[in-house]
Amino acid sequence: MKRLLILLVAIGLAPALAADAWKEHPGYVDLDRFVALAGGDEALTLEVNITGALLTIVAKSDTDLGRLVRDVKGVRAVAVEIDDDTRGKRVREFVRRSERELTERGWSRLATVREDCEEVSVLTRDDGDLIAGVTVLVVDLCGGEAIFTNIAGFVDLELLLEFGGDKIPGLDRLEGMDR
Amino acid sequence: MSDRALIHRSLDGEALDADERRRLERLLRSDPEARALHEMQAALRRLPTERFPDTALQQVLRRTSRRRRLHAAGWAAAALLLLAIGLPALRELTVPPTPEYSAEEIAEAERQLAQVFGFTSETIGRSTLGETLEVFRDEVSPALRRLPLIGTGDGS
Repeated sequence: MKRLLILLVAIGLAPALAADAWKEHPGYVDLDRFVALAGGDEALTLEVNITGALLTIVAKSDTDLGRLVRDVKGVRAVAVEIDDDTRGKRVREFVRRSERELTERGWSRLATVREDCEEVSVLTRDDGDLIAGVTVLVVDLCGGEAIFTNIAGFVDLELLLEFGGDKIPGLDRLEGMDR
Repeated sequence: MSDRALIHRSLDGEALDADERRRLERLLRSDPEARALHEMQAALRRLPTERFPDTALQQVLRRTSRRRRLHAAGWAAAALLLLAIGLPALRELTVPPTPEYSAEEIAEAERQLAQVFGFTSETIGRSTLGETLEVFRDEVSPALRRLPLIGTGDGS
């Protein structure tokens, strides 16, 4: 009877646990810490959190976006307003520290931009030959905003670049060549 | 030989010699405890010694095992009933219902996803990788177009 009860509880709870399963994905990055950076709702200018059933619905559509999110488990984005220098410095330091932590956890820097008032980091989490996650950290002190995004799941980088209009010309021809 | 053993031997029908018979008579006359023991043992020996009938024993065994089978079947039925009725109820309690999304909500999700993916793509494009892409676009790609393709069947 005891075993039966354990089995019933396990069966009953499994889907509930599965709902948060994407947080266990290697490509997941907890953006709550970046939300905390805002220090209040008024400084939080954007928050996107799409996962689970809603993401599955979008993935079923026969569009570029649908194909792009087909193997994606969750998408999250946070934008924080930077309205003074103190917060700007704090955010920049926090982002640099986060970037270091992510690289220590197995993330790789795909692209970096460091300019006077802007710092950009694009990090990817590789799983064999595939990209299991993409995270973008942007601090734009001149624009007064910091944006953080995390795409957890398998991402086709070529498709992603095409999605932004930056199709790599000739890449398809390169892939078609045997040698 | 003890008085007790003498009493048992006499009641079991063993042959006593003349001395033992006289000793037993004196004992039963003079010792009330010995007399009580003798009477009790004699009464016990008069109890019927008929064996418990085998058929009755088998009936008891059959009833017991049948009850056991019914007991196990009862638990199995209860478990199935619990699964059939209890599991949906348990799931109701533990699992949030699958949300139904309106067309507007789905459209909004698509817009937000397009925003995030577009932003990510543009950021990569603006970075050092973007410069690499420019090299591909401006230099590598035209060069590839001039090259006869290898392994695609349209020239070698």
